[in-house]
Amino acid sequence: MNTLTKYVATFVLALIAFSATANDTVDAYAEYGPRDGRTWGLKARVGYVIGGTLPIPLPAEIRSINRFRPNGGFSFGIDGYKQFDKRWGIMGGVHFFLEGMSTGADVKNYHMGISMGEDYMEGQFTGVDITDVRMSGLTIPVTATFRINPRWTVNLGPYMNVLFNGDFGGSVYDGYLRVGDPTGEKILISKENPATYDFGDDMRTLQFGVQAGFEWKATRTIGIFGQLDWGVTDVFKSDFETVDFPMYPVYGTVGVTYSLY
Amino acid sequence: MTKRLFALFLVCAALTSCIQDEPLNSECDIETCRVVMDDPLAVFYSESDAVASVLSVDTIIAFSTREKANRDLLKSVALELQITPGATVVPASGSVQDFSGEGVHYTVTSQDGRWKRTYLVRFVPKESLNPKFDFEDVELEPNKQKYYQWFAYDNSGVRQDLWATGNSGFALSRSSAKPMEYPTIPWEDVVNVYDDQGNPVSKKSVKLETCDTGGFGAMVNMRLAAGNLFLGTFDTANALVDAMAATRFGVPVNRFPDRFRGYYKFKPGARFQDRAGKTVEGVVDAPDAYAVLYRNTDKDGNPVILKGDDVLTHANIVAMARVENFLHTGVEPGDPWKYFDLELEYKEDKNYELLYNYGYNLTVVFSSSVKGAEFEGAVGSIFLVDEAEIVFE
Repeated sequence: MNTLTKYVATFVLALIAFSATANDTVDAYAEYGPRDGRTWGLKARVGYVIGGTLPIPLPAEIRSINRFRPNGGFSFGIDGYKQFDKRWGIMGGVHFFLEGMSTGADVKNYHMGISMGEDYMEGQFTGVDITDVRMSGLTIPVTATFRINPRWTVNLGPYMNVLFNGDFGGSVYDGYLRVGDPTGEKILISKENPATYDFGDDMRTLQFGVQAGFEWKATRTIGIFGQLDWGVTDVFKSDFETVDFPMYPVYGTVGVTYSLY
Repeated sequence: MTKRLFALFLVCAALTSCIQDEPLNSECDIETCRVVMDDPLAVFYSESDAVASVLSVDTIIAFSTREKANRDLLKSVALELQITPGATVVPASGSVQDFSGEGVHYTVTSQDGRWKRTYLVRFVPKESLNPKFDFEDVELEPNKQKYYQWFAYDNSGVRQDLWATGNSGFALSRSSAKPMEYPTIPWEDVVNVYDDQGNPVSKKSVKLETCDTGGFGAMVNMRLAAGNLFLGTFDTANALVDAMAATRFGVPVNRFPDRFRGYYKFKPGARFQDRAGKTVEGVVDAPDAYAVLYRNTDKDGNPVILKGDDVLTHANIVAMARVENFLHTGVEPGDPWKYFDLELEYKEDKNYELLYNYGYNLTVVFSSSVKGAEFEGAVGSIFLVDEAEIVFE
């Protein structure tokens, strides 16, 4: 979480610094705020999602990440918000997301245990690990909003993910497995005949995390937003022991908002 | 666009800033072991016998010497060891040791200091194969006691570990299997043959059964494991990369084989499947049993070992006998044993000088599915074998 705090702090400070020069009058707040003098409103959003599902911090066994490709990420949704005063407010919504990633990593002595029914294999793998993740579902965030200036708003708060569909698969190859421990039997695994895995069924349906974001209003109706969803629950069910370390979803979204009402 | 780059930056920072320092190596293997000697042929039959490539499971490294090699030559011998990078070995590689006795222990410690392996390096006279394959001498593999392995004794009562199975490969895929659930197991239904006093000769036969390898097998596209038993070694390291290379057939012999004999029972499994696990209609599984003699060096003196893909076709093959047209005898105790007695057909002249220098390897192979090496066959095919033998000239 320290890493998270650090990034969020940097992010917020950067925005404040950026906004220091902006015009800061009550009229301007109204100009970019809810319509008709209301204190609440509705907005739709659509965005591009990029990110990864990864162990945090990365264990020393991961030596390098050679390939990273987002898997077709986008989200759209609707939010309602309420201003309490000029600066503070609250926002909540429902966003559909489709996100994922494909990575290729070099690993060394990467401990893995895999169970198949009643059979179990564990050992240390050294070689290439390819991971493919795809998730779709709904994000339900409830965040506090703070208007730094008339056009810039930042928000921070918890969210809940409800997964409709989760794929978590991949393969290991170009290396070898030492069965049990580093003195165990050495099994070579080639690219031509990789060992594949699929843990999609072991993914948790309900996930929680923290969302931090900003919005910049280009006009009263249209804005540009960016947000970071940082998962704090392991994407796998608690009884899932194959992957030794918890994996967290960390996904960023950039896109456009449109004030509906 | 700048916002997108910003988000990208955040993710990349999260991904890359956390790559930690490389951990030290944990492995501690002797990978190869070479005898450094002025005149290796004084001790060995061939120079290739002075080099051992060590399998990851080996804890004993045995160099096969000439039967009557002068043990005094082994009193001061240096071994050149290739070990895991960063690891250390005691005694050191290149140091002179006395191998005239029971052997020398080498201990390798991993670079991170957390793991150790100890190897025993011995020099033993080359064994002359016990040609009676009665399958009476069987034990659980000593490390983990998960599956059976077969051995025998030579004329002077020295133990020979010349038989191999694919059981260690099956152990990887079916960790929950009990010893008697493996593809190759000892069996109590035996051939009724009696010695001169009228006592039954055989107490155990061997049962080979084609087994499903479960989820892990499917993961590596190797859905079944035929029961097999053969003269040679099984290199588990290659079981996934190149299954054909895992079965290393043959042991050196110093006599020419004439005949291959034995008893079997067979019952095919119900459903023949291809490598993808799909049913192949109209195909009935068959077992396999053969003996192959081959020259164990090439023209340049390099060692030749026949493997799964060339054991029946290699140019070095000198003689062969293979059982054809297996009967479906059934495999219950009341079902009849079928006897086979085949002559090995030689396709080239016998070279006795080569023979006396252990220049020929012999393998005898039994398998419950003839295409088991390609992971095709019928799960449940059962092949019982008992009282087999090679008759030497």
